Amino acid sequence: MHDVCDITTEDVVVAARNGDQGAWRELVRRHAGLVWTVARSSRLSRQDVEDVSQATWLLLAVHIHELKDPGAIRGWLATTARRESIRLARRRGLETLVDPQSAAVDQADATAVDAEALVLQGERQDRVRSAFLQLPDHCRRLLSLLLEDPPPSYEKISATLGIARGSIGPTRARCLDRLRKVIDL
Amino acid sequence: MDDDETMRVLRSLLDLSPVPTGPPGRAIEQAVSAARWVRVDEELGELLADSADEPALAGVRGATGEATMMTYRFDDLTVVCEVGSEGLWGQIESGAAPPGLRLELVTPDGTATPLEVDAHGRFMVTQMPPGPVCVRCIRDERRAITPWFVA
Repeated sequence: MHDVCDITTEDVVVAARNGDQGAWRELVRRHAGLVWTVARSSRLSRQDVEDVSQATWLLLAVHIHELKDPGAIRGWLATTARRESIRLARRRGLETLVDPQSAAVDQADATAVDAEALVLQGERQDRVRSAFLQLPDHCRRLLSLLLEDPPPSYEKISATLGIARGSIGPTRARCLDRLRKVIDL
Repeated sequence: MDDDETMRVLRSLLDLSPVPTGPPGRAIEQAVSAARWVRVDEELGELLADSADEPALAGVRGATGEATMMTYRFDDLTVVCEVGSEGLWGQIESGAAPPGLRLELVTPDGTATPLEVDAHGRFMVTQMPPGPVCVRCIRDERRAITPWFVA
């Protein structure tokens, strides 16, 4: 099975707050790119971006017990990284806030939009991952194999899962039907 | 949505790299190392005010070296920290430090450097360590830290 499918974001956050080092590493693996992208959005120097990224993760560590909705961690991380970026950009004299009435487009704002898109994309990923986890085990195992790139042959799937080759297609259809019933893709 | 389209969406979402524009390995290591602060048995000072929250004027470029000021509360003790290009300046709002109070500057690896507090409750650090820091307040066996900030 794809390792990204193994556990929901909520479960990872709860495990991380209970001191599970592996869960914390998984949080970093899933969200380090988001934090980094947001930190870059204020045109800070490379060193400052690194400091903002580190500060964001440290702030998560000390605030993780207070998160009311563990599933909203991407939004929390993005907001925190943005806030720390703004703080540092102001101190460095870097921030140029664009008049909303102006036609000028600030690159930092464009990057911030990208970061927001990443947050939304990540939330959609989390919802799909959660729906996937609600499927019966045989569905998850079959779909995980079919999602591999390239997917294994039906012969190999048949041997791996111990099911008849002729039932793979119909089972796939039933599993996808179940998935579409629990989430609007 | 037909089955093939559903599979395509699943593949794009479940296989999407979580790090599209990857941070460097050093940033990943720092993020992983931050876990050591998850279960630290220390209270967190309450942030009462943060100048970073004050809105800047549209179209105005911030002055170079603009300091940011944060105010924290530890029980009845209020500490103001101002971070600027010259380092960290702080003051205990009530004036002189209460007996037994100690302040430390802490770095992510756990290194703590005592802060010298003068008779008026002021302290200053001109040689800041690189990276984020926080201030620890030790009083009557209780320990509390400010949230982390980049100096």
